[in-house]
Amino acid sequence: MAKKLVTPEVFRKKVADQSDLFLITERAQGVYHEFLPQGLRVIKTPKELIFPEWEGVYRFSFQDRSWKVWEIETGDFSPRFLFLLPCEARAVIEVLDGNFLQKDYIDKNYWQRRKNLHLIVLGCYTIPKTCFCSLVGGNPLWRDGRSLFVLPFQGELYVENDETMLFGEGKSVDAREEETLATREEELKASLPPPLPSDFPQKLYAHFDEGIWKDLSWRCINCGACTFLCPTCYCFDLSVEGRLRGLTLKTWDSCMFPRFTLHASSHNPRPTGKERVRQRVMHKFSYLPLREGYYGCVGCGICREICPVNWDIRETVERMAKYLG
Amino acid sequence: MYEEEIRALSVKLLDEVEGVIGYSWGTLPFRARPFLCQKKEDVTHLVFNHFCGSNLARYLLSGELKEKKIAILAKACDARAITVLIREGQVKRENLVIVGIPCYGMVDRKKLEERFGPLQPQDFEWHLDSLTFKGENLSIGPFLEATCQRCLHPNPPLYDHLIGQEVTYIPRKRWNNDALTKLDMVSREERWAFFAGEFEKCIRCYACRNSCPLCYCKECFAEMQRPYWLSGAATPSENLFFHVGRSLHMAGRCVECGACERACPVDIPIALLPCKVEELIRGNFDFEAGIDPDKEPPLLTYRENDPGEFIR
Repeated sequence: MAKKLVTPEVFRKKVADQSDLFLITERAQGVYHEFLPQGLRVIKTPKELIFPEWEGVYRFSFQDRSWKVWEIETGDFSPRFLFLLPCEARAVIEVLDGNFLQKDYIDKNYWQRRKNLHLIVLGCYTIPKTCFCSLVGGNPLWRDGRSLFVLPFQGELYVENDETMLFGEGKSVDAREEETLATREEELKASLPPPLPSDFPQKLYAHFDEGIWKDLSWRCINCGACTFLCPTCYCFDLSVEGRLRGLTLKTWDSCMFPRFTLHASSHNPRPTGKERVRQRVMHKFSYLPLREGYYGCVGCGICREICPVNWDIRETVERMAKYLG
Repeated sequence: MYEEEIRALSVKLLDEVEGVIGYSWGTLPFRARPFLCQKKEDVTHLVFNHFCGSNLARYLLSGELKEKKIAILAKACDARAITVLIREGQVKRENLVIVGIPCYGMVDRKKLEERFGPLQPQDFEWHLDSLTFKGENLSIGPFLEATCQRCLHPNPPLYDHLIGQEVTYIPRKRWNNDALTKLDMVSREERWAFFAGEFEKCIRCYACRNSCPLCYCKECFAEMQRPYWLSGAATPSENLFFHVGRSLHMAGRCVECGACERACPVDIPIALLPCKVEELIRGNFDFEAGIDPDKEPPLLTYRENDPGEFIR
């Protein structure tokens, strides 16, 4: 793994010179603005690039007494680099890739966009008040070992995996610097709150019918702000627009919405806010970890920040963990 | 603010009601949130301050509480929303104990942060219409949310108990927020460009609709399949259709509380549209929603001798 140190001046200049190639998430911008040039395209969450809010899947038309169907191609995407925080990178690599790029099924449109999107993970050195990555197995310096990684270090920027010299040649990291870095990383990890108990997903699963859910869900107004801005929430809806001619539309959907599980028979297995809130918590903290081995939450805290009524997932999960003992 | 009064009254009220809907401190700095107090020992969580923006009238409609006797803390706009809900037959007056609170306006966290940088709650001290920051006393006006700066009714029009003293000034005259007037001054093209730009940001999470105390349709036109009013694709034109459609549904009903704008996770000044509609209704029909429960709402009333020809 190539490791080097680049001066902030070189780093900023290299990014400015190739600014068309780069995008940055709003949260990463908040932490790293002093190291980056102005004017990079800012996006709310990484998922909007690879799993857009809406897209057509296929067109259809009824002509000469038969149906014609055309797949809508996503087109080719030129390579781009996305600056993002470790939690957001984890959301893409573990959760979104895990869902859309499965062994037995690959979402073609997702892959078209994803394969040319290169992640640049920016180590999180000012930990915002709202986040809680360590509870769900992450940490502020999490990276997958293959993606580019950047971290301010002794007045310079420490860069990992820059094979194409995107940020210049820099100078290589010596053994002492490497040791200092490793020590700091260990110290940082040790200072964070411990992860949720390993049997939490199992215990949660067993407490599906608990009365506490009613209490936990009272405040929630069942809007979709949290799920739409969540970097991991990947549920979508398919709807048909038009009758004899039209298209099938794929749009973000939210388990908070009443129509999410509405059956054609008009029966709704999740009739009230209680069941919907429970589903959101269960999917992220029980079903996914039990089935796939990772949480559906990366602890970025954006949902806590933007919730209109301060319905707080961290509070809920900690309360449940305490309640389940 | 008024915490002791609110708590003492709530203890008394809990003898006759199922719960008191009020506010408690939230889990993040400068955030208060809706709180349902059902036990006397929990009244210590009840608070009131400049961060109690959520319109609590919204919680009267949730299935659990709808048929029960409930006490509710009501700022002026919450009380106005309750008045509209009673008028529209959504809640029963006899099921409610309304605890009115004169309101000096809600503070916008983002405006505080812009002025003072990263926020430290202990640096601030809050008074009715001012705040002290590290010893310096400042008027609260510039930090209020836009809808609170435009507020015409700071005192609740309907209540059973009143906490504190009535506000003696009209916030709009004092704080002078002229965003609506400014929008009137620009050309149609500029106005169109402004709203198109704002609604392009919309992700259709429906936080505005769901936090609105008066958006209580069981099935919203935005999500209807038959008829299919608007596409699920969040394109700028469909977004505009949703927000304009919502504003028209709210015409003569909106109490200008700003809940929609406060809830928006992508910072669209949504309240401008319904507030403009209410301005027109105020001018044309001399009517304001939720002020006088006995006054007929002009857009929800049919008369055979209506002066407008198109309606007869």
